Amino acid sequence: MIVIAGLETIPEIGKRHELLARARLAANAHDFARARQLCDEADRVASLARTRLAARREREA
Amino acid sequence: MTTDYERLSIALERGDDDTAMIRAFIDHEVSIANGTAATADNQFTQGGILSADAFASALQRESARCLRTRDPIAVLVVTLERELEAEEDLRLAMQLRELAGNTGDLVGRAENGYAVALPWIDDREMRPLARTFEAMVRSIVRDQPIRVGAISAVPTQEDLESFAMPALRRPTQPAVTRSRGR
Repeated sequence: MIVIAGLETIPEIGKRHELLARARLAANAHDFARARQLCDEADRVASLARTRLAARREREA
Repeated sequence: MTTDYERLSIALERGDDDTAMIRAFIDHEVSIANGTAATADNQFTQGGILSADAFASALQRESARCLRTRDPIAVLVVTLERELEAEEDLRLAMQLRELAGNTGDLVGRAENGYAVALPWIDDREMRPLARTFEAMVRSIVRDQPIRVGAISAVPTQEDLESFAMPALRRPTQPAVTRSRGR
C-alpha cells in the first residue's frame, strides 16, 4: 500500500478521487448530467484541498 | 513524519487531468449522440477510449509523475491480428473502461490493439488485473489469436526517454514481468 505522509490532513484529496471515480462510472453509464455534476463537485473539493495544502505548507514552513 | 507535498501536489495534478479527461469524454459522447461528432482533436475513438496518440501522451505524462514519486505503474496491452468490427470495438471499449475506474487510470488504443495503464498498481496487484484484461479481450475476439503484454514497474528516466509499450507475450508463455527496487 502506498502511503502519502500528511494525506490524513487533507482528506479532500481522497474525497475528490472518489467523486471522480463516481463521475467515470456515471459517464460510462451515459448518465452525463450526473457525471458533470460529480465533476463540478470534484472541482469544488479540489479547490478546498488546494487551500488546505497551502495552509499546511505555511504552518510547516 | 513530514508532509509529502510532492505526492500531494501530484495527486491534485492527476485529478485535474482526470477531470479534464472525463469532461472531454462526456463532450465526445454527447456530440456523437447529437450526430455532430467533432473529430478535430482525435483524442477519443468512436468507442470512447483514448486514441493511440492521446493514450501514449497521457501514459508518458502519468509515467513522469510515477517517476517523480517513485510509484509503480502497470501497463496491460493486447495486440490483435485484425481490427475489430465497430460493434466488437464498442463492447471491448466499454469493458476496458470499467477496468480503468480510478483517477489516473488510462484506457486507449495501442498499435494494432488496446492498452490499459494503472498507476500505483504493483506487480502482485497487477496479475489478477492482467487475467481479467485478457479474459475481457478473449470474450470479444473469440478465436482470433492475440498477444498480451503486462508490466508493472517504477518508471526510470531511461523509460521516459525511450518510451515504449511493454513486451508482448503469447498467452501460453509465462508473464513477462520486471521488478525494480523502489
